Amino acid sequence: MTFPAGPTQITQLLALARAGDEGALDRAYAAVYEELKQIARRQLRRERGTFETTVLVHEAYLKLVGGERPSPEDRNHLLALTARAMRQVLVDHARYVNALKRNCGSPTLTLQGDVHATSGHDAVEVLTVDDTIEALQKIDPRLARVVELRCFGGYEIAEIASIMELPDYTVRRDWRKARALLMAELEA
Amino acid sequence: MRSAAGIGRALEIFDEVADLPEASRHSRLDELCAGDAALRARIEAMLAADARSGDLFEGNAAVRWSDALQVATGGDALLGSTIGVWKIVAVAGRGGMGIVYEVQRADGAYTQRAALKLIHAAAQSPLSYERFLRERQILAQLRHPNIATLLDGGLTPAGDPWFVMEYVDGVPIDAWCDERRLGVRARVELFVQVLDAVSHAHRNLLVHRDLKPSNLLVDATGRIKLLDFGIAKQLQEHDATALDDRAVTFGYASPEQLNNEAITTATDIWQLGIVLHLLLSGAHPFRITRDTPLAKQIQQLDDQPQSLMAAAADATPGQAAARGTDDPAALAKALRGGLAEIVATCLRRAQSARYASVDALATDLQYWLQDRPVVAKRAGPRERTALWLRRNRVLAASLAAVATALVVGTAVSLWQAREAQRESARTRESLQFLADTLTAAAPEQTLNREVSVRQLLDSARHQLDQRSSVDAQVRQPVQRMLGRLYFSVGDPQLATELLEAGMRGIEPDNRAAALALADDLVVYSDALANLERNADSLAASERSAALRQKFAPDDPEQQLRALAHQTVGHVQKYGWEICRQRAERALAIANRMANPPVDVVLRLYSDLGSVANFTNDRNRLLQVSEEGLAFAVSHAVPPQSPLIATLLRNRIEGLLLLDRPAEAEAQARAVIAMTEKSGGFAATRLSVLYNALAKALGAQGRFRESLAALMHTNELLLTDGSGPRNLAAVRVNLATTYAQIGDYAQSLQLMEQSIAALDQARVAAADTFRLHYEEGYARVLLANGRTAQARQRLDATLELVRKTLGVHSEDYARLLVDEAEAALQDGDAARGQRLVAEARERAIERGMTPASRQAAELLHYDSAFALLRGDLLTAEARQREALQSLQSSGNPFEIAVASSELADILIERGEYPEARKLLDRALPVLRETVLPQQRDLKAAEALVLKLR
Repeated sequence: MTFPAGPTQITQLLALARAGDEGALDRAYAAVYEELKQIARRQLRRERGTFETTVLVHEAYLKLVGGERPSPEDRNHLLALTARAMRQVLVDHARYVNALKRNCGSPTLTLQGDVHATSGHDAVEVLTVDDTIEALQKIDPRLARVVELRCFGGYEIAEIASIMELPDYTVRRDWRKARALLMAELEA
Repeated sequence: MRSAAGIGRALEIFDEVADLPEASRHSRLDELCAGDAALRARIEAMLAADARSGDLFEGNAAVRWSDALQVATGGDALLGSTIGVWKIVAVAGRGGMGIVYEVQRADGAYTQRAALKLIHAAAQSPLSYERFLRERQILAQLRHPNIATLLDGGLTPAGDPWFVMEYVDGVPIDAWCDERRLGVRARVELFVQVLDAVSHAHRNLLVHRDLKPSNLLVDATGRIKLLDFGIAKQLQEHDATALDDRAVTFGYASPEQLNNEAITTATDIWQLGIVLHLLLSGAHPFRITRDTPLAKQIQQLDDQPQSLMAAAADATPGQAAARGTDDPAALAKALRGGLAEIVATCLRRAQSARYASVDALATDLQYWLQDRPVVAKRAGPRERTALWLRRNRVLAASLAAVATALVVGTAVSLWQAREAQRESARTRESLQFLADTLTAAAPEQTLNREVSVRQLLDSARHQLDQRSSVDAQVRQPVQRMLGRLYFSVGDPQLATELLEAGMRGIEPDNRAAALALADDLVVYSDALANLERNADSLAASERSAALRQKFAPDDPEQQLRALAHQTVGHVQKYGWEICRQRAERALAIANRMANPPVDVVLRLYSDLGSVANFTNDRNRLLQVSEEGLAFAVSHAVPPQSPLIATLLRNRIEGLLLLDRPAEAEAQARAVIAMTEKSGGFAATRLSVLYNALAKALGAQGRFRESLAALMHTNELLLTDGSGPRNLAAVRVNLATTYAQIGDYAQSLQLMEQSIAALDQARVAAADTFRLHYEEGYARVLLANGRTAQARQRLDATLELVRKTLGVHSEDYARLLVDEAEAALQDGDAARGQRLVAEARERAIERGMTPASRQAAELLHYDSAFALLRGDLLTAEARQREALQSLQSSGNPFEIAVASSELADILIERGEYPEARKLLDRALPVLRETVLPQQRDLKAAEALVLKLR
């Protein structure tokens, strides 16, 4: 990353993005992406098996806004960007695992030391969810966002409702539907 | 890519049928799917999934991420390589702050399985290698059956620290208890093992600061093993990223860790409290779970902890059963009383309100196990203490400023007597050396008749420096001796250095040597306290007490000395109330002795006075100081003895508190004269006295003289190398006085300089000292007419005070008055009157008498707001009352100001003759006291013009 993603920067970038500067949005996204990876790396160093998506995204959020108190608009935007970046990281990795799997024919990828290993199944799961979000994007963008926030951002229903500025029950209904769909897709 | 159309249709149909009853759902599906088997199958699958519980895509986050990141960073290349003498055999896991490897010794010395922690910390801030090794050494000395021993440690070529610990094959304590369904009693018994280990570390001055179940393992034999002792601290001190790392263990972080304040052993007590709560109730006291978002965690940690019983009542039946109780209600009942109190005491926000030590906590748990009542102490006023300490730096430092050790004149002979008992060639050699050096500086040699003690000491020190060949065994006793003397003449910096050098590496093996070291440690501790090194001071004092305990357990005087010695470090850690009780107890013991040690008794009187001062116990302060001074006289302690310096100072403060500034001034001047005359005077001690003198002068409205005294205080502190807070405290006083005499610009400038100085010294914004500073700053801003800015600060400070000191504090009442001043400047009579009413209520609560200056000030505001409302009659009546109160308690300046204000009201009412009379009397005083641009004086001058 060639630019610092300081706290003030991120809200400025978001403001620019709101004003229509697409480049600013890309930069904000890249900053989030990078921050997320850094925090995840730190977390994984520290905690054995207790890694939580929600902790990760909230920490990233806190880190990115620094001492600032962003407007609700910026906040929601940032949280949504975080979920998107999470999705990106995991999908990239799942693709990589899948590619290896195809090459080696092994259902399990052993990176080293047998500490952790992403199963091929897990990778498929990530890719399925990603693919479903892509499909939903065309028919029900709201639902697509709910899935992205829930699955990759790890947000609770109430948080999603707040991020999307929707009533809780709408999100709950959406998620019920999406959850059923995704589970069905994963079993198929 | 999935078919968007197919999904869309499936979602629509799902929406429609999901809530239908089973029977009608079927027929409806037949209709809607109309022979599309694939669509039908998909919807059936969705409905089946909908009926199932459990969430999607959860649980594997750690695995997914760690793999994703390892791919991104190229995996772990260290397997098979060696670090130090350790060969990396396997990755054991990810714990603590880095990766944990299983290692074996690679040098073939012997086979040893161990765990190596490698911490990627150095990238941001390389550690100091030397210091790292030194501290590693300390950690390695920590030997306890319940502590995983540190075997080795170092830095990789890249600068990453690594530690090798005893390999512990264990299970986290909470999981272990749950697996075995241990009952409450068994859990407490197991937990006592943890305390034993932590206590051992604390005795070695190590704080863990990262106690949590994953660091508390139970091995196959059921023995507790604590991991990572001391490592957290090492990293935190060196590593900038450690601050970020704190985020993870938020759930166990103490308030002081979250606020980035000083970490003490009380931090471990907090964390132990959380672990105990978790073990007993199954829930986190702040209701933090793995699912709690981080931001929420921080918020929840600010709440009151849930009581153990409430948590137990919320427990699941499974959790209750795992603790040997029938149901959550029974568990709650089992945890009621003792255990709940014990946990609550660990989880007090104020460090000093928690258990004073791990041993105290262990004792209480033992009591509980023996069905005896626990003694969990009540909340103490630690926050108040801390604030007071900061506010009264100069004063507080001198709590320890009494040289308990030796009166200058008798030092050498005492020391000689002590050393002579030991009758060794070495001590005779030391004595000879000392005699030589002192003789070299003696008046006969230098032809200078007026040799001060200080000059004598400087000369001896230089002699010592020059004779570099002197053997350490000769040199060290002399250094210690000189260190004590330097402290006696008020040079804590040199005293600390000399004592440090003189005590380095000394491990006494007999009673005499141990007690001599204990005495020197007391002086060392006092010197450190003078330098604001409070934690070090406490450590030295505790080491001293431990030596007395170990080598002279049956000697009442030694035990008294151990009990009696307290410094600011104690106050900071244990709180005023505990220190007061300890001092009272010690004094009672001393009074029962036929010949109590004079220095100890005087010290106790001094300490009790300081406590009384803090608690605003006006009469007690004066009384205890007088008693102490009487004791000194009856035991022929010379008036210039440093032993009574604090008593003299306390008497001055007592007079000031009782609104007797003239007497206070006389006392201050006498003591200053005496101190200055004794030569080689103590800058810190003098600065305290000058500060008190300045207060006495200010209280009499003699601002210019007060200013001069404060400037002198400032100079003394500068020469003394005082800490930033001490200096800032004096500057705040200076700035306030400048504002009083009307030099507003100078006042503001000084305040702003002080801000800069504090920033430079890295006194954090969260430093409680800043509260006092903020008060002063707001007042200066008000004086400069910067009302909006002042109000902003006042609001924030008031809020802070409300939260910390509480609404019943003096500060709160005072800030309300400042707020009233701001309201007056804003012309907001309604708000102002409300504030004054509240201030009055608070002040009366605190014992304000009607004839006091404080009462007069409030009446003045009543009057001012009445005037603002146009209620001239009330304004006049209140102002007359104010003037009345001041006649007995106020100084001439205050009376003049109040008179001129009354004149203002009278002019409004057309009562010119009386107004003129009042002004005639007031103006000369005002002109004499303050600068022409001073607000009250300007107002009065304007009135004169009106009257013409």
